[in-house]
Amino acid sequence: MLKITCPWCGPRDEPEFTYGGQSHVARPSFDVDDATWARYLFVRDNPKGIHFERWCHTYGCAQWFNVARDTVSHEVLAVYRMGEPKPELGA
Amino acid sequence: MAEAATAVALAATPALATGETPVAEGTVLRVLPPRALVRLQLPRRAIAAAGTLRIGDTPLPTTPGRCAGDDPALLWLAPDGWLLISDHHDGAALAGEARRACGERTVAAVDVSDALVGFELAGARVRELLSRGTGLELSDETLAPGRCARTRLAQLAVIVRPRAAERVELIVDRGPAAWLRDWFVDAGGLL
Ligand SMILES: [Zn+2]
Repeated sequence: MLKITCPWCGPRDEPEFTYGGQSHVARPSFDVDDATWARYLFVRDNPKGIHFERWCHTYGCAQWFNVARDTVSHEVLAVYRMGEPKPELGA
Repeated sequence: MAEAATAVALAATPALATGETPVAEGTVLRVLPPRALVRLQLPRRAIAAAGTLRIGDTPLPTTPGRCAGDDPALLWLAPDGWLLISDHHDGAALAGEARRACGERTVAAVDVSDALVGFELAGARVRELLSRGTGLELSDETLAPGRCARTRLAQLAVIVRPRAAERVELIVDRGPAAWLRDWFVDAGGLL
């Protein structure tokens, strides 16, 4: 089980949270071609290593925030609020 | 046939007993009497100034996991959300007072007095029982009066409000409240 530190409530167990997919997916302008739009809708990173993802503290404060997690070790490397910049975490 | 089965299921739903339920040695779960409960939610733009708002004579707590005031008690639930509890107000009146205090047309102050049930869990094995159902840190610091936490307990979203060293208040949706009581009876049996 992951231990995730909610930016508001502090450390809580993973079952209190809901996973919300990859963070920082920017919507392209509406006039892009279908292939670009489809990539925006359906294609996501699947890194072996650092993954930036959204989580919601469903059973706590119900806020969405960002987590940087190592997909190999499951270590949570950083937690930051929506609107805050993506942290520099090396490779 | 399906209708008959539904009727049987409804009839079998245990009513939420009032009074005390012994759940473990020296530890009881008590349904708290009805009181005014109001869910307050501020619009995003008003959050920065939330600490300057006063309900009753108490400023809204802006530190996560803190309560303020006595009656009404103001419980921090989220950066933009609080639960107000009063034994002396009526729910609608408390919601009205909260709306006036916030002075915002877009503030949501909803009387949820009938939507939630309060329990008090008291006795020597409170901490042990809670630990069976939640990953919340149960240290003296987090279980101190003046704190509150919305967490996952017995698979439910429950607001935990410590009242004294061996006494916590638990606030849960009315629907699964009987389940929570039964869960404590089961958990107590396994200690
Ligand atoms: Zn939280």
